[in-house]
Amino acid sequence: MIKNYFKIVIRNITRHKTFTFLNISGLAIGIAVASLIMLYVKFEWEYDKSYPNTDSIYRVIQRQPGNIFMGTDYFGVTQEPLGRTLQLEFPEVNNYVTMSSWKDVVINIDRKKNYEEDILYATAPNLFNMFSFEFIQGNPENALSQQNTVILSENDAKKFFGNDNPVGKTITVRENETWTVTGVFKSMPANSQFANYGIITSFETYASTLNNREQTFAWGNNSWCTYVQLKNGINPEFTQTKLPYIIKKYVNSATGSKKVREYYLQSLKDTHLYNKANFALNENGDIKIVLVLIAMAFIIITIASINYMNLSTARASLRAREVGVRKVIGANKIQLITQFVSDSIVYSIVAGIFALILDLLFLPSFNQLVGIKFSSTALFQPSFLIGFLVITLLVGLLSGAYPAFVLSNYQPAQVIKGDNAKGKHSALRRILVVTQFAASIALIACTFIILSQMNYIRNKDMGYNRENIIVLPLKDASVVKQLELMKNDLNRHSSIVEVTASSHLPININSSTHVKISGETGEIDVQSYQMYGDYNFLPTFGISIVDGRNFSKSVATDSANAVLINQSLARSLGLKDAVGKTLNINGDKYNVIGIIKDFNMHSLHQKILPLFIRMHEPWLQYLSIKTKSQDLPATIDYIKSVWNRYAEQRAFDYSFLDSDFNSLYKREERFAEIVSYSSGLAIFIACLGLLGLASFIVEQKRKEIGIRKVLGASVSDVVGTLSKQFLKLVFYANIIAVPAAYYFMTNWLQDFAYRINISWWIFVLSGGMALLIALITVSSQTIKAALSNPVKSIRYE
Amino acid sequence: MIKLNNISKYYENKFIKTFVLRNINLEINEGEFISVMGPSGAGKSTLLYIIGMLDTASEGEYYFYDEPVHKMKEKKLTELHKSHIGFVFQQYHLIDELTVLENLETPLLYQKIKTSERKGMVADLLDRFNMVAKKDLFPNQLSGGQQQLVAIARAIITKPKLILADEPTGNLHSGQGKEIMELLKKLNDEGTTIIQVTHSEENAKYGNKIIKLNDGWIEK
Ligand SMILES: Nc1ncnc2c1ncn2[C@@H]1O[C@H](COP(=O)(O)OP(=O)(O)OP(=O)(O)O)[C@@H](O)[C@H]1O
Ligand SMILES: [Mg+2]
Repeated sequence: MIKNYFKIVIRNITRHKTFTFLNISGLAIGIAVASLIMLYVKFEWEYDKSYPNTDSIYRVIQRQPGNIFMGTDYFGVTQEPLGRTLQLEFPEVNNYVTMSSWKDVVINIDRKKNYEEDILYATAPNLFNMFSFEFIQGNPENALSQQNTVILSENDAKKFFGNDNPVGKTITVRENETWTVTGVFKSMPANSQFANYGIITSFETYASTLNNREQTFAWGNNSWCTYVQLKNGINPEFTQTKLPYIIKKYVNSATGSKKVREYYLQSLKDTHLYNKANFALNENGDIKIVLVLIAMAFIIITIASINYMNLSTARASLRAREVGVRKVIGANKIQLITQFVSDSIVYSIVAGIFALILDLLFLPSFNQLVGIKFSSTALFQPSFLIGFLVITLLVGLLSGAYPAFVLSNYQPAQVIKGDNAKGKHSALRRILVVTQFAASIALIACTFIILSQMNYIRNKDMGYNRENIIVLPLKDASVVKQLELMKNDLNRHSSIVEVTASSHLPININSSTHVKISGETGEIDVQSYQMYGDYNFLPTFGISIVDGRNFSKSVATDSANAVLINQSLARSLGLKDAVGKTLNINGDKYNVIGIIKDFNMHSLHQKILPLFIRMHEPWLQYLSIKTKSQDLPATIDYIKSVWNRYAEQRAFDYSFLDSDFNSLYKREERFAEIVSYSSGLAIFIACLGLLGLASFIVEQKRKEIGIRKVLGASVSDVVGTLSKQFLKLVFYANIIAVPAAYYFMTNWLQDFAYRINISWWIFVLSGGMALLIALITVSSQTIKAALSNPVKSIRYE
Repeated sequence: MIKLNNISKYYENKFIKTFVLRNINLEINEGEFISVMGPSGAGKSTLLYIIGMLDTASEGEYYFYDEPVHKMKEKKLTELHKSHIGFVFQQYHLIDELTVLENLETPLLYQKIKTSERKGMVADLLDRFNMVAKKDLFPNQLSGGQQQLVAIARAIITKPKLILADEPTGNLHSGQGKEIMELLKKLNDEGTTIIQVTHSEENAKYGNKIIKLNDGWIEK
């Protein structure tokens, strides 16, 4: 039976080429998009869920109510003794891990080869037990029990030592520590928070590099990720309710601070996609991006399926007789439904084959879009292929169900007598076309709104200058020691205008502390962002002074106790004439020498907040070089030569402040790209469907067109009457699309402290664009029909 | 075999009933060969479709082997129709996308007959109708007479008790028409009940009884 159905489908596929092409290309794009998104969603969804203990692992996060930092008062970091203490105090805590990392550390192998790697240091062997590390060499129990030992991932071992046995070999860290390799572990999957860490060492080894060990490991220092594992069946709420006791007994008594803080246990399953805390070992995913992508997949698949439904039901009248005959010779409804659904499934399977090719072709672009490197082998893994097949069959089933229902309902007595089913179901077809275009137009409008907000961000005056500024990260202390010499050499070049070293770049100042001043009504305490700079910081970035003066070389005390504050901080401290006042910052006294004009020191998601700037050489991290715009390559070459003079061991990594600034909006950039690509695909597929419907209707009306022309209608009359009905649909679609897009975009813009107003012309533009595209699509068919010789079409009817 | 009591058929349009069949009373016994005649629009095809269970009467009772067809649900109707009745049309109504062989095979597929048995039945029939050489051709590659032969072959492949033929020779020239009528006659001789609609007095004579329809009434 099925074989018999397939024969007919295959013959139909080859006979009706336009119909086949339009349907298959729409479905193929839909399936390709949905399957790539499935790949991504699966990756993000399974992030950190592959460890056998995942369900019982929790991260301890703390909240410091009111201590808002980068938009939230939750922190992913806690104190070093916390994990240990939790295990000691609570019997249900099975295991704990405390860890942190160094980024971009210089590693030498055999004193020659240079690498920059991230290093994880953690409580061993707890880490290995909790997260089930697989050891290829060495063993988890004692691999890191000695000081200055290190284990490597399989990948890094290969990278450093090739095929040699790495165990017993040494690596040199920051040029002054030599650590011995004691084990090799199986590299973690890419969707694990440990994927980036190929080098792991113990806390003891880390401690030996410190000179303020006591302070670093005290209850007062919040810089560690703490994970605990609870015994099976323990409800985390149970443990969480006991955490205030820990704060009272240990944190407050040890630090003498009465700062309010709360601890929470966050399930490991939530830390990647639902992270709300500052600071984590890795860049986190974003459930919003995942949801937006799922929505896009759904919209595009729906639009493609609607094409199939519309074209199939439109053509149903052509198959009506076949249905009648089959009923006469004994087919029942179920058998007919099966036939037509297998029809659409054959179409979707053929589309699936093309979709797989599209997936392969567009995987690199998709990777760029979502920021994950999937290899093409991921497309041939069973889990992907099964999902792919499910999507393909589902699409076939969904798009085939309605046409099958329509077709199988034909009454043989009617259709066999030659009654045509023409005109029936066309109301529903119109509704479906309106749906397609409403979704497409809404997406186009969203794209315009997102792009104009991004444009607004790029062009808004942030209060500092970021053009022609080259940024060099100073990597580590040995480079900072050479700073003055480097600055001198750089200033010698004629294209270099200004050079400054600072702890942060003005685009993102992410360190904060408390500032106190004693006023008439008692002490005022303000939380403020802080940074360190030098004499040239303000001129380099063009930040202006509204009162007082900049740091000055001629005032010797400036480097020790002068502070510049911004207008917001002056306001928060309640100071009218701030210059000359004394501030208490972490117990030390500083003189306010100048007030600087407020500038945006974060992304535009946040308002301008208090800030102060001090001078302190050891904390400087970035060298910013303002250059003249001409002859940039030569200037960069010169900067490189200076860098190599003083920091030869370090790779010369430079960036432009402008592009660093843009990377603050990576998430938004990604969001914008996703929505704009989706809207492009949506309108394209919707137009494929429109093209099919138009060509079908023109075909049906051949005779009518011929008669009209014989009666004297002009070409434009004919095109007009035929096109009008389609354009009307697109117009209705606009009416639905506008409020939908307005609603979603107002929501999205709420996230920005500085944002555009959604103006009406965006909707006129997006609606007009859709109308124009639809007009071109439909006209291609109607004009052809209007131009054809009327006598021919009348005679051959 | 067939018993119609006061069967009427009308179409309702804007509250006006247009009667197509009025108070038809008819009894047909197994083995009969009936010819239905009458002017165009008299309701002949409608009567045939009602008897063939492809259409339902508006009023009246219809018994098929003493079973009340007028009370049956669609599923039962389909079942009864497919196991007892074969249809032949003036326009042949073969499935254009299928070959001769596949067209013959299709009713057997709907009856869920096993592959081996099915192949045998199709082969027998092709042989009997002298169509073996044409089995892989599509309908549009055959002459009208040949198409009607295939259509009849398709109608009898499931060995129905009743064959309904709506102007089976209407589109054929007289030579071909005669061949088809001989074939129907032969099937009748083998025991199949046949009801045919025809405009030709000559063809009507193949039957053993003539029913005349006029404006929905049976003329006595
Ligand atoms: N769906 C319908 N709605 C209204 N009237 C209908 C419908 N279908 C058929 N009729 C009418 O029923 C009447 C009988 O039609 P039928 O096809 O049975 O005639 P017929 O005797 O077979 O004619 P012919 O010899 O031309 O085939 C015709 O007058 C036709 O107009
Ligand atoms: Mg008729």
